[in-house]
Amino acid sequence: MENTNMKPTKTILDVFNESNLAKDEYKSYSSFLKSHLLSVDSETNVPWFVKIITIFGACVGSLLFLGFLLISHLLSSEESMIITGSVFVLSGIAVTYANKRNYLSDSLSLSLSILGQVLLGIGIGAKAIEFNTVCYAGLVVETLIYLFAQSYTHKFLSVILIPACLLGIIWNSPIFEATHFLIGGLAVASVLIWTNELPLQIRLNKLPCFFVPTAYGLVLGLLLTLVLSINSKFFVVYINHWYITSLISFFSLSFLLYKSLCQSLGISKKTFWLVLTIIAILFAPTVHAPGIISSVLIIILGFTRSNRILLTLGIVFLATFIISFYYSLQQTLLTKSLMLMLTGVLFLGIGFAFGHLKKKVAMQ
Amino acid sequence: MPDEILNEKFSLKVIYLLAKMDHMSEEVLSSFYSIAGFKPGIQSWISFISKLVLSLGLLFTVTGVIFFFAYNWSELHKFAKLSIVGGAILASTIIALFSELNKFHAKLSLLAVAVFTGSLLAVFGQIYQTGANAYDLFLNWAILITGIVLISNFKPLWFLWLTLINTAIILFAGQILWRWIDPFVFISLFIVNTIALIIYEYFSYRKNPKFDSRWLPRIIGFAIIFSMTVAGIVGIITEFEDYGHAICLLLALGSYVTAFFFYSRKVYDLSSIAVSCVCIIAMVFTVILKARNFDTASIFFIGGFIIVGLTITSAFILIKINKAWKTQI
Repeated sequence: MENTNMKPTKTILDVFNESNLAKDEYKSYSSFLKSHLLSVDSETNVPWFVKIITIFGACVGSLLFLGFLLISHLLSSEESMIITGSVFVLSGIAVTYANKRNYLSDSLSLSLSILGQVLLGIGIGAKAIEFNTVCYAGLVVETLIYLFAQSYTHKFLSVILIPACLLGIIWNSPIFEATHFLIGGLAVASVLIWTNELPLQIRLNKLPCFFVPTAYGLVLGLLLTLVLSINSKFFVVYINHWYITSLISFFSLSFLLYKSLCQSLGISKKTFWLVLTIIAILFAPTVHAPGIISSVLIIILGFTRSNRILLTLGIVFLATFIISFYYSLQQTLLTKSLMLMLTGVLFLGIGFAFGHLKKKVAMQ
Repeated sequence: MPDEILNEKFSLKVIYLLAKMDHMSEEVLSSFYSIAGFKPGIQSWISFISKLVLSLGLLFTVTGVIFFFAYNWSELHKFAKLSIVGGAILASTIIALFSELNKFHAKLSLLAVAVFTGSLLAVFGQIYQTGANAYDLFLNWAILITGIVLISNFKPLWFLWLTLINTAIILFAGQILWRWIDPFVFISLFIVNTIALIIYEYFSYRKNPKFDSRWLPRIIGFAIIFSMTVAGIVGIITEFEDYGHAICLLLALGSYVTAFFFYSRKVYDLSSIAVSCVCIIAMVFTVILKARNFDTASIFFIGGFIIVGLTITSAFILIKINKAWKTQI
């Protein structure tokens, strides 16, 4: 019987027993897990809620301290802000090296890092006047933090901030349409990293802080960049040709389905092309609302990796995109409503057809 | 180290840990991954796609209908408007009637009936300008769908029903009593949501499989803790001019203690404890702000340290609870 609800049902013992491991293999795997699963210091053992609290606390704490520095006029010149900012960023990175396995130092190092990044941003912005310079500097700083900081949370924030800096650069240039390729790149990268989850985890086992923050950061970066871009009129940026983003997301979805259905499940090429055609027809009416296909991409990615966090992210952002779509001024409410109703009816039709297929498979 | 740790569920975390082992091969890890059930088979795919497609179909159709009536098309006759929503209710009801209620598509149909009922009330109000208050709409909507909610055993419907009751209470206090931000509104919401949460957690604690999923109690728990914290903070800032705020503060403190006790000892759920920690940080910070009489420079300086300090303490407590729970299983 297959596990269809995505929750782990088997115990470690069950899996080891079913794997028919040799005695020495069993011993080595079980002793490794016993020593690591109870370790409080292990980053893998820290629930994600704790990481969220750390990021929240570090952000609020560092912003308050920043407020103190500004109000007390301790940093009055641009140069002093840049120097102090750099010192804070470097100290933040250094703290992650000082005690890599102590999770509690993460909050302090993250606070230092965020404080330093904001100070650097204000300092460079005030000195250079142009926003582009801040974005380029941000890109360099975030890349350095991503490469050198030995912490999940530092790298995770950097992965999200790198696309944000790129977005700033694009929006300060005459080619707003390049936004589509940034979003498309993030969609492709998200699919590639998650479909290669196991080989990458093994290859990067000497660098344990890389895979998880990069993979989750890319997905969140993709969804946040899309939210910002769809509402770009608030930043006086007018982006057209949304079908480009939809098309790239569709190709990413096709690749994901190819890997999952053809390579893993071994379905025929003919069936695969039929599935792709149905998907293309289903999403055709929403081609100007790329958030919808992108969130569905993340939902399916979450399913293929049995990852409930990705699935939840996809659902939450799907709701966000539909609300954004309501306020979008590119079409009238009547056009949008007809578009959604048409898509809905198409989906329901396919859904009921699938219901019959399900019955057929269950009978077999 | 105890052998009981091997009875822990084989989650993705275990895969991530095993990947860190020296000489771990991709074949072995893939085999563990498949045996543990992380690689969906054809049956899982069909089940998932079927649910996804139906859910998206319902979502798009319902939002399409909402957008359509928001457009308020003046050229469309009022009977046509009412017929569209009435037809949608009828179609969804027929699907639900001729299906087994435990099937996913039947539950989705009931959800559609519930949502379209609200649309019908809104369209009726839009056409005839009944002059009713918005709370009337939400209350009547909740009353009309109560039967559907009871028979459905579908959590999104319960969530919708609770949201409608909460909205009706807030709007009743604002539109009828002219008390928009009132501690007794928060207390009323607290009572409603706490009753719902207690019922859910009672059955969850008794291991009733229908109450296995955690998303609904988490949202209700967050709403309770968060709303009481906000009301408590308002009380601290206003020096409890209204005694209702003092009750809210006490209820907030009671919620934190209950969340810590219940979710660390009875039903393991770290998320509600984590939310309590964030709310406690906010509460402590407000108390200090008030004690320093909102003296800006020192507050920013002390505040930064306090927030970081409390965050570290919270993370430490959460990790300890996590470890203690693991050693129990």
